[in-house]
Amino acid sequence: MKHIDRRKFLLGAGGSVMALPWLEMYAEEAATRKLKEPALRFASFYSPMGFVRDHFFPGKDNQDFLAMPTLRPLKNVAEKVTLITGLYRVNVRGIDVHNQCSSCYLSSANPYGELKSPYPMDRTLDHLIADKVSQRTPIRSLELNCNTFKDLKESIYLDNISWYGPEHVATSMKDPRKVYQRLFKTGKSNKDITDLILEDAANFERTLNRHDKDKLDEYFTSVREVEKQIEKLSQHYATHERTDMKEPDEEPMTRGEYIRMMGKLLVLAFQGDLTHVATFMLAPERWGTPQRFHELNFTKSHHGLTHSQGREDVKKDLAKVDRFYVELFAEVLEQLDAVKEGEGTLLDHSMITLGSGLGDGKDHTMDELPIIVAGSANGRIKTGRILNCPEKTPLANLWLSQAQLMGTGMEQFADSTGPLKGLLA
Amino acid sequence: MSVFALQRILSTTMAPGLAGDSFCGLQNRAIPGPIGSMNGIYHIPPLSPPPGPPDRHRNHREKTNNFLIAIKFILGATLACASPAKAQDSPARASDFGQGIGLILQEYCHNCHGDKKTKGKVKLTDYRSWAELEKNPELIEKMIEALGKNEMPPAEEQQPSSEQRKLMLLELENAFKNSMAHSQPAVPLLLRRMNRFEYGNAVRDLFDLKSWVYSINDRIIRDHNNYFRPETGRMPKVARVGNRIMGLQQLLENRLLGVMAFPKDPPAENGFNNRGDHLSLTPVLMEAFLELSKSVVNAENFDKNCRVWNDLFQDPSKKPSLTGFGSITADKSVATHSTGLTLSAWIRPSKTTEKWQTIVRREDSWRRQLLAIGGTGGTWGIWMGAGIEGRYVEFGAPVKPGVLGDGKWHHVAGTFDGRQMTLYVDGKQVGRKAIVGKLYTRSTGPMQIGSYREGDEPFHGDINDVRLFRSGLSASQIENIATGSQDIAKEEMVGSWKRDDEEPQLKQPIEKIAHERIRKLLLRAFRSPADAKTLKLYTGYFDRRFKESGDFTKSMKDVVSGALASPRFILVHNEGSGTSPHHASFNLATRLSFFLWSSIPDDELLALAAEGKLQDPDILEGQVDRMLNDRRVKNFCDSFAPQWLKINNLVSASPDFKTHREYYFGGDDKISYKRGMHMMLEPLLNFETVFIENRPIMELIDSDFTYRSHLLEEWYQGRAATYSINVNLRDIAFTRTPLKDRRYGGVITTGAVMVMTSGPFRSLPITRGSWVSSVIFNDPPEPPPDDIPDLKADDITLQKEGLTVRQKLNQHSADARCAGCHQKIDPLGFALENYDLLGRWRDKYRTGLKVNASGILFGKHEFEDVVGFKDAVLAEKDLFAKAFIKHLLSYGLGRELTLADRIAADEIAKESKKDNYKLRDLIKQTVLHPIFNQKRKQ
Repeated sequence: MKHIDRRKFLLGAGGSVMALPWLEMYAEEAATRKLKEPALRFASFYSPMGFVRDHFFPGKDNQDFLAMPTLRPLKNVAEKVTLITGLYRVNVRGIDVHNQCSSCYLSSANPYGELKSPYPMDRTLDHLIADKVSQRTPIRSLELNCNTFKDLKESIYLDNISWYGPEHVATSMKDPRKVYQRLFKTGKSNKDITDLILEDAANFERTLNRHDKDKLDEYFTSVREVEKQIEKLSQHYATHERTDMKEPDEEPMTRGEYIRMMGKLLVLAFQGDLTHVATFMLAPERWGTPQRFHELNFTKSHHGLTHSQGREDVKKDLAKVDRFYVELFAEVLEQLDAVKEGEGTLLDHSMITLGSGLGDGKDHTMDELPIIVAGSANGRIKTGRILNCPEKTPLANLWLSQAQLMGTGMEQFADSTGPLKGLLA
Repeated sequence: MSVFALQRILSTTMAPGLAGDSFCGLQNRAIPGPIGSMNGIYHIPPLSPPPGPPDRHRNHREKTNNFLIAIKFILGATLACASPAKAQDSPARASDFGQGIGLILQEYCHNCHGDKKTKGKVKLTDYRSWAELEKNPELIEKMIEALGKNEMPPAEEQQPSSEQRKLMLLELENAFKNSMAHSQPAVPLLLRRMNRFEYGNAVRDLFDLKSWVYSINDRIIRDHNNYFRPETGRMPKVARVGNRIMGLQQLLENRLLGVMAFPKDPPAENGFNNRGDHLSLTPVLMEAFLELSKSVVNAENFDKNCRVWNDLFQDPSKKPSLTGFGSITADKSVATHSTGLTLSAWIRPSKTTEKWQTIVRREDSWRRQLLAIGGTGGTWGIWMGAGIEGRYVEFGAPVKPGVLGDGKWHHVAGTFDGRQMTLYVDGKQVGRKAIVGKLYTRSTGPMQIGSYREGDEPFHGDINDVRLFRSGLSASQIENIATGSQDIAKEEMVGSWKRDDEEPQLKQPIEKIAHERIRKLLLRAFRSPADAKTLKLYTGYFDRRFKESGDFTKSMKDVVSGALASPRFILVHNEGSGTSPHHASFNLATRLSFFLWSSIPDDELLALAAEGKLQDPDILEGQVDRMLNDRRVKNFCDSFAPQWLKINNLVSASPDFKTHREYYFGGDDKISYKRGMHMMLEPLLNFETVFIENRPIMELIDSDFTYRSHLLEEWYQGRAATYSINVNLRDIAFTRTPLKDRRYGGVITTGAVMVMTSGPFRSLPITRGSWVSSVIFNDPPEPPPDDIPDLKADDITLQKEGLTVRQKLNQHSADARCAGCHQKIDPLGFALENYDLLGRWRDKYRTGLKVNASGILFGKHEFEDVVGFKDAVLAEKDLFAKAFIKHLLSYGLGRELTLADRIAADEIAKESKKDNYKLRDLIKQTVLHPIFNQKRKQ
């Protein structure tokens, strides 16, 4: 079969899986349909160590999540938000819970499989989606991380939710200036050098054994990706305008200003069709270090707070941190919603998730995970409501639904038992 | 208040592993217990049939007697064959399982680890023979661990006799070796990318740069007085150092301009940041590597910082560019026939700022001799300096900067004739000073032109026709030189340097020269000879570039950019099926240099590898000695020591600003420094001392010296010395301080470790215990169960309850699920309770209650206080040494250790014990052991 753009076709047909002959027949139609329907954007936000539950979940009878203090900041976009309850992930016993809840969050990797790394890991949802949709944008995906800790003392697993595969982390970007440059500056092609080194690498490969060939494959893929991105970006800017946003300077920022800056860059990336896939860590998991929350007027360890939330004064501070992160998330949603695109807004053409890998930071449980999905994914997701799933519905079911909505054609995602029931309109 | 405190406890105790009983977890464990080699054949007489339960005591006695016989026999056998067990030899069985160890297990262990109860998922009743047990080396290792440290059976249960314990350990060690004998030898090193510390070092060494490549905080210590001199075998009394990671003002160092490092590589859990499985490549990183490959060679100040310029980038058809000057080695007669000194030179400065610019200089402390221009104390002019009558004398004469800086050539000279020093510009005297005395003339080093040492006080502009005379010439002689005469005082001239004005005559085609240079470059950059195909790829690239541009230097820079971006440079340890004849030898060279220098091998290592000689044990040993004496070994200290000590935790230690204001000094509430900035350097300097002076590693636990700044010395005395905000924090003097008080000394009880294992409001004994267990005994605790209750150990609650933290924790530890681990960690942490959260000694808590720091280590060494605790650790020095060796091995091999590595660690320990575990020797034994040196299996 000649190479055809299977991804666009599946996306145009609504994300369901088709038999292949069909694919070729309707490829043309799918392409035209894509013109009518805006491309879907996918972003996954991560907030560490769960949320104070009784400030987040309204309880079975209450359908108004805005009644909950932590979720109140979503009021301006509430109609476009879905709160999902009842999701869980298997907590693999005998390995550190914080490390697994962040590093396994977006893969829900088989908890019973053989471990090729200290934690069950796999290619994460964002990259499975990028595999399918990255052709349409100059940049394959963005991995943003608002970790401002100066001590790099904690492990790679706590600091990353986006993975190409086991032990292959997708390097996240923490410096807004670097993100800005990546999005809005057109680099010079390294083609002279890359031709040389790719040929060198090909000769090199012949002398390597299997493990080392895999390692070299990271090199090949990375070099090609960089080159591709430069080429695509310069093509892109031949027909698109660059942002009028100024490059961030080195002025110190408060915690809120910093996260807001990263959020703005994400919005601009989506708005300018620079990428359609992103992950966004509001803060790393665990990290036993006190941190300055300028806007909250205190320096506290988020992780420490979660463990003593049994005490009222502590719980109050913790709820402030929770709300602070939800506020910043809501600001991103509001910005997306302010961008008109076709007949709707950018938010309508997106699927933006905010979640955590822990249900409760104190007890380290992975049931009742706090998950919010914003944006209707081009009208496919029913929003403005609470979706109560039966207890112990695998988180992977949501990931499967999202993968399908993004057009991957996947039928199984990790330990999923099927697409998430009741999600779609 | 205890919120932070508890969080601290939890965060550090939550390492990966199994929860529950202490029979769990295998990561990086220390190896306990005596290790015997058991090649002998011996036999234990069968015991009477297994006794029934009713008469336990009698049977117990009987068994003990039988075991005593067996032990004597085994110990005899062990002594008889002292050589280490070879993996392929299958040692004979010590005793029948069922009649020997089986009985002890049945009596003491099966109750909890059997059919009825199976604690910690360990079911010993499944094993009825050695053959069965040997199929499970993990279990054997756990058993050795638990028995050796007296963790099992639990203290409250009936205990086997110490002879029984000893016997079991011997037999289990033997079984472990049997068990591992047929296992695959572990793959030593896998292909991985360099981390950013290594990349910076490798680039620096590849071009022999005078500067750093980039300024990164991976290196903590900044050396401002060249204190680190491993070749001397001695640390100087004073180290002038700065703290890069916590100190401000440390960015001002010579580095390539506009070159950006990629993000710091995180350390592995309980490990190091050079782990192969963690160092992967991604587009974001590749972007950085590609950018670096261009920005390094094109940095504005690359050319003048590159010491291999003339051998690599310089167009061979042109005379060397103005970036480099030469040097003069004086005639030997200067030492015996000198009556004075004359320095004469032609200069054309392009800059006349206040900064001193060297014209010619021989650096030799007070004996130095120099001629320079620059400003001092408001006088700008020409300066001469020389060692006279045992001291350095300097004299300057004012000259208008505009005179020398007019873009024309000027003659300058300085003379000293034993009575006066005279300075001349363009043949005219500009200053004279009477100085009577004998000139020191016995310095033999070369006189450098245009700078001294590593390019210090460089001359901007051009210098030519420098002459050195062994007497003070007369004014008329100087005038003659200034008017162009070449033959003045020829008999007194002991050296000269002139820029070569001739265009070089090429003996071979320029491309051929380029190709030869590229061959040498690739050998160094790729750490083994490039095969014909690869060489052709790069030489062909050069030829195309050179044809297009005609610019040799630029074309060579393009080639270098390619080499720096090549996987052969970025990825290290390509040990697969290499094609070069001495592939294994080159691999070894790379392993050595990345272990000991965090960088690429140098020419000597590569030359030996090319001859296939590096594996020769004598040569290897010589090379290791050489490497350990080389300054580049600082990279090892900079990388290994802080990671081993987990010292980065100190950066984020935040004693509460309001209640512990004294931890912060200088400035106001907005800008202040942490005393941790000083503290952090103490254990690191102590480590370097043990390394440079090749002291036993036990001095890392307990030493009679330490390095402290004035601030730290005061701090330990209970005085919080304060400094103004303008204090020089860049360059702090740390002085070697003899210690009589054993509460101090070594690394454990330093302020650095005590502060970083505390919370904002109090010390955290569990965090401290966890630190000791992980760092000192390489035995990180298991993660606690998921639902830890809040300890509620804040001051107010404690005061109300009248409890110490210890009493409070004991209540918690009584919980059966927690007891297993806490029995293990708590004594290690409480031993340090006499140090408060700021690292100062205390006898009582703030609540007035007395500190109780007593405890028992591994169920055998009782101690009353921290000094007793140090003794206890020293009594287990073999355990500490093995733990340390495992840290070293994991670092050296760049991977997590496996069960099979345990045997190697044992053997290295055994070898280094002969010399009392001296640090350098221990590193050497690690490198000489086959595990570091072995050929990799396909």
